[in-house]
Amino acid sequence: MKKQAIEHTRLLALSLLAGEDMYGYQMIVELARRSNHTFDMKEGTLYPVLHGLEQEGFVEAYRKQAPTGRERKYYHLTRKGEHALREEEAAWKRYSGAVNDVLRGGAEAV
Amino acid sequence: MTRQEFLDQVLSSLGRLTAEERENVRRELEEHVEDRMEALLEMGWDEELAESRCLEAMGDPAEIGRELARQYRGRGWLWIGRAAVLLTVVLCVQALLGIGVLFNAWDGLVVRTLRPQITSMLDEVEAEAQVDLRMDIGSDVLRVVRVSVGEVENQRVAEIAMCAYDRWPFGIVAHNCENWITVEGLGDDVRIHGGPASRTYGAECWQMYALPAPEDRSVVLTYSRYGETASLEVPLPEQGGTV
Amino acid sequence: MKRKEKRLPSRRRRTARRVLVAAAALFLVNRIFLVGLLFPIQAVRRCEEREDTGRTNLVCRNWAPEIYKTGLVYLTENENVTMLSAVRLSLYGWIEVYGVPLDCTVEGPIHGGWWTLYRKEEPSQFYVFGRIDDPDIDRLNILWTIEGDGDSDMWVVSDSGEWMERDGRRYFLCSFGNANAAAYKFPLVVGCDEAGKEIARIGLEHGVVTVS
Repeated sequence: MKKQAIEHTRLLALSLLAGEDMYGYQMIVELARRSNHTFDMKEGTLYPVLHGLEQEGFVEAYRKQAPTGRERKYYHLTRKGEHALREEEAAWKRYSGAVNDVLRGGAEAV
Repeated sequence: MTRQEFLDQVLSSLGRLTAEERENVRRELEEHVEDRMEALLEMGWDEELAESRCLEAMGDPAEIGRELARQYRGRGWLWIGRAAVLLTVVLCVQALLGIGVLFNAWDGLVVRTLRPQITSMLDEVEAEAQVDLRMDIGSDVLRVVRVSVGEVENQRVAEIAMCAYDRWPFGIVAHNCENWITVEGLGDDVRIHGGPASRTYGAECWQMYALPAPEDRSVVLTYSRYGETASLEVPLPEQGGTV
Repeated sequence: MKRKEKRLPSRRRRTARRVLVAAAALFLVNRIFLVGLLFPIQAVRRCEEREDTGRTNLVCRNWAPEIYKTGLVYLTENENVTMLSAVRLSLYGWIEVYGVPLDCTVEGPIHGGWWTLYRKEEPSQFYVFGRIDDPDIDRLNILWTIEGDGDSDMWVVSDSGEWMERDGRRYFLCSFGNANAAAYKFPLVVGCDEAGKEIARIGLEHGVVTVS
């Protein structure tokens, strides 16, 4: 269960960065906002995911001054990361589609 | 738990990271806590409560540390990089130790473009001419720089000052290449006192002598080695000056 | 608002940059300073340049700890030349010790040469090498006269089984130690066919003594 949590965290992180470059805290806030607080993960667990993506070359990091005035470590999606995002998106669609099919199938049977 | 304790516990699992990487992680996590704290303080939270709430929201520091460490493992990138640095340092040291080699390159350059100074062994000079004739010998180039006609020990000789360099600017010239060059004048060439010659890896300079007949207008140098031959005709200077 | 951007490299990028720098340094130091050679064959190329043999191909390579702890002896060849060279690993990387080229353009049944190295007043290995052009020759008898307390002869036999082939030509290399090269005189190589009949006989003139 935990492994799955991390894996779809990757998908969420990648898709957040597809829109614009963000820093860690900003991503947590944005994630909560977009999902209407459904995703309420432990905030620290985002960072291993981000560092893993960085080491694999899917994202790049740089330090920049945030709108708050302080300097923060920003993440940027690379082209390699864009490909990875598309793949993970496709995989997720297949997975969730399959779950939906099973549920629907079950409801019809009833 | 305080902020410091939290961060220390995360960092304790990151032994395999470089000091710089660890510092980056600490900074990033601290900044996150800072941001969260600011948000809570704005809402009116008590500072102590805010801090404990933040750290709780972050999660289990041991788990965060473990997961982070996992991302930096494997594939040995770090060691390849370190090996590359070591190689670079060793190469620089070797280059510094062998800085004398640059003098060879300089010799090669001088001989190629400028005019090398080759002393004359003639007692009396009848005629002299600065020339610039080049011929390919093997993978090197032979360049004749000066032809003189004069007297040594009461013999009328022609002195040909020449040098050789490798075709590539930083290359190595063949060793003692004069052994494979003969002068066609009257029979064998004549070595007079050997003469001073300079030999480095970059360039070789020496003189050769021939006994020309009074009516000879030129002398032929022939290179022959490993079955390859090449010839160069060197015109003798007219009496009293240059050609 | 002033934007300050500072790039943070990942391990992968840092390593790539370091490897690139190392490769550039290697190229520059090899080409311009002519040191820092990583592979022994590069030192053999230097011998080729010194002797102007042109590019040669490898016939055999032997480890020769008796001359230098990291010494390697190479026998290389091309159409015109057979060369015996020795290289070793030093502070500067692989460097050449000496190269003995043998001009094989002159027609003949056998081409032969010898080389010996003196290190710190002590004689070390003695090498005899060459090329055999006559296909009938099956065995070589190499003969020296050793000057000393009474001249003595020394024979070394080299069989075609020990010879190496490259580019359709046959090459031989013999070595033996405890050689007091100064006392070895008048080396001679006699080529015999299978039956033992003498086919060719040459004196080994191309010889070099290197003192280190």
